[in-house]
Amino acid sequence: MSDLIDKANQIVKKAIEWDLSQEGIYPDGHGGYVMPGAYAPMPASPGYTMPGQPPPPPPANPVQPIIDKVVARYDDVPGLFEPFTWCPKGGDFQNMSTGMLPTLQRLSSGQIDSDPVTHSPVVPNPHLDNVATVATDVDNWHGEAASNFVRNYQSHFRTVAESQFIAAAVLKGCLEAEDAMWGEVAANIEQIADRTLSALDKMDDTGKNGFVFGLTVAAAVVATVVVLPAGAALTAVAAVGSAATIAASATDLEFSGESAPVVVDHMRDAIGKLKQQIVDTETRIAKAARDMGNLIESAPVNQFYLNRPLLAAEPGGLGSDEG
Amino acid sequence: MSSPLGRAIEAMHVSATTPNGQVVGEVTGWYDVRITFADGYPERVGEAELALQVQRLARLLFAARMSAYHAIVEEHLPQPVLPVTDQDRAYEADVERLESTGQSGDGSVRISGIAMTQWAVHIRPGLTDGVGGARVAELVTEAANAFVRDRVAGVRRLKNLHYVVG
Repeated sequence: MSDLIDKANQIVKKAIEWDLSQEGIYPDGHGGYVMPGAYAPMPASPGYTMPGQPPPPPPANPVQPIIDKVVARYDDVPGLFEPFTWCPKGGDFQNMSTGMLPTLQRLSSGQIDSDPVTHSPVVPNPHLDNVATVATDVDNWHGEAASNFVRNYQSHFRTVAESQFIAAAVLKGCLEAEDAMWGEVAANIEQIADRTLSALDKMDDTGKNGFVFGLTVAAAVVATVVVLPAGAALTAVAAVGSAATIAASATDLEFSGESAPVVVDHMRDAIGKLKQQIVDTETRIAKAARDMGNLIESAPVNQFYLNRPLLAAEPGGLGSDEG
Repeated sequence: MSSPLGRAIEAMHVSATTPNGQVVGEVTGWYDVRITFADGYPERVGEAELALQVQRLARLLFAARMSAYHAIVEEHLPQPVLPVTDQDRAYEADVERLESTGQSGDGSVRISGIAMTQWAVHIRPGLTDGVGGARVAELVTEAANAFVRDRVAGVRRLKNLHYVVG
C-alpha cells in the first residue's frame, strides 16, 4: 500500500484537470494552469518604478478564483486514503494465529480431533489420553484423597480439556478472521483507488462510464458455531473464522459517472462503506472473543477449570504449578 | 501516473488492412491514428478510389480498435449492468446523430462521419499527382486525427449536455 497516497494525489490531479478543462483552463506544463486566449500574460511588473516607490505588485491571475474553487473540491481526497496506509495488513496476525496451533495440540485429548472453527485436523496430545485410563493405574489407591481425585478431577478432566480446546480454537478463529479482514481491506482500498483513476481516464469514452467497487471485507469473515461439552447440556457458542471463499458474497457497489465530481463522489461513498464494513466486521470478531471470555468467567467450576485442590493451599510447596 | 486502464490503453496497438491489402491503418494508444498506402497505390487508382478504400478502412479500423479497447476495459474496469434511464436514452439518441469531421491542415483531405458508421472521405482530385502518394498518406493521417479529436470533443459536449449541465 506504499503508493496509495500517490494514487490519491493522482486522483486529485486528474479530477482537478478535468474540472478545469471544462472551464477552458489547462495545465501550463510548469505546475500551473492557463486559460488560452482569455488574457494576454502580463509581465510581473511594468518595467519601471517611480523613484522612491516599490514596484507595483504583479497582476492577479484572473482564473485563480476558479482554480482555487476546483482545488478545494478535492482537498479531502488524500485524507480519505491516509488511514489505510497505517492500518494492519493481511499477514499481521499470521504469526499469532499459527502460534495458537501448539496450544490446540496440547489441549487436544483426541476426543475432538479437528479445529471446530476451521475443521482442520489437530494432532492430539497423548498425555491427555492417559488421564482417562489413570483409574486402572491407581486401583489400589483408596481413601478420601482417591475418591476426591476421581470426583473432582478425573471425572471432569475431559470436559475441561475439551472446553479449553474450544476456547483456544475460538481465539485462533478470531485471529484468522482479523488476518483475512485486513487482507481484504488492503485489496479493496487499492481497487477503489485504481478503478477511480481508471474511471477518470475513461470519462470521454462514448459509452456509459460505469465502474464497480467490490467490497469483500465483511465476506472475509464467516460466522460459525462451536459446541461446548457440558455434561448432558451442550452450549452453543458463536465464533468467527476466515472465509474459505469470498467471491460469491462480495458487495458490489455499481456506479457510473460522466464527470470528475460524480466519479469522486462515488469513490467517497465506497470508502465510507468500506470503513463501515471494517467497523461491523471488527465488532463481530470482538464480540466472538468477548463472548468466549465472558463465558469462561461466568462458567461453573468443572467447565473450563477444575476445583483447586486443597493440597495447593497446604504447606509443603504444593501451591505452585511446579509443586 | 496513468491508471491501470490508462496504461493498458496507452500500450494498445491495433491495425486493420483493406481487403485489397493496399491501405493500412493503425491506432496507437488512445487515439493516435496512422494511415499508410502500398507503394504506388495512390498513383495507380486515383483519388476517388483511394477515398473509397480509406472509407472502407475506417470501418475496419474502428471495429478493431473498439474490440481491443473493450477487452482492456473488461479487464481493468469491468462494466456493471446499470438500468437505462431517460437521460441515457436521450444521450444515446444524440450520439447516434453526432456528426464529426476532420480535415488535413491544407484542406485537401476531409473525413466526416455520423455515429462512426456512415463515413465520407474526400480527397482533392489531382492531389496525388501534385504531392505524391506518401504525402497523401500523411494528409489522410492528419485528417483522420482531426476527425478523432472532433469526435471525442463532440462526445464530451453531449455528455456535458445530458449528464453534467442537464
